[in-house]
Amino acid sequence: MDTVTASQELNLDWTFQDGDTRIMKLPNPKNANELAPDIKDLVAYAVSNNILLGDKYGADVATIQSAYIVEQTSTKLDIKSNLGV
Amino acid sequence: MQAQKATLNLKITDSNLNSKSVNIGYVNPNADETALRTFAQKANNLTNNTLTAINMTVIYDLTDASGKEDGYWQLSSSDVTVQRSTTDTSTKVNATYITDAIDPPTLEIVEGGNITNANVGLRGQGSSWEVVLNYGYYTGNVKVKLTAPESSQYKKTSTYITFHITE
Repeated sequence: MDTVTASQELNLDWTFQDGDTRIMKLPNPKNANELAPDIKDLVAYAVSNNILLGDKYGADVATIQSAYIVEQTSTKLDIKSNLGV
Repeated sequence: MQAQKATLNLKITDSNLNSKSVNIGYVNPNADETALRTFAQKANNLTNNTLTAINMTVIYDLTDASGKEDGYWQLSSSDVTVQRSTTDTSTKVNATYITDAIDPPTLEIVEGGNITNANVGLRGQGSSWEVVLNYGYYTGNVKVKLTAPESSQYKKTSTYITFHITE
């Protein structure tokens, strides 16, 4: 029998003052209803401490443009049964 | 400017006590280390993961302002002297672009030569090219500039080759 597993990933779409963006991906996010205060806290901290620059020299992080949870499903195929062996 | 960047990884443990690393992206290596750790913890607060370690990796000299990594040219010679003869009117240099190329590079004469008495051309494909100088009756110096294509995922790197054509 095939085995289906589901997982979630939180994507945070950081935006910089020049309009460029970078996506941060975090697996196993909290419930969507609980995330907003912590995301606001994360943005405030990153901006005030000049955290997320990386390769974006010359453009400070502005905010998180969007945050969304991606549902991921993977299926591990039962090859033996499917092939009748 | 050569850049230095840091990659911030969280080592987390899931509810089944399986550990895995989560790369949360590039961070400003000039930021205070305590601030980076606090940031990582705040990022982890968005998850149901149990944070067990924060690893910070600093990578040196990999990107320019465009975010592209360095590429470079490898030449069989950057300075070639040829004695003009009646039997041979061309010479060549082998040029290989490290580390990728799909489209042809651009080539231009930046010093000496002209279209009627000396011209350069390219033969090859991918990363491996021959810069061929047809010097004909020309004597003197010809300096050419070879530039990696824009389509490269690496920096648009240029190199120079100088030919000296003597009597």
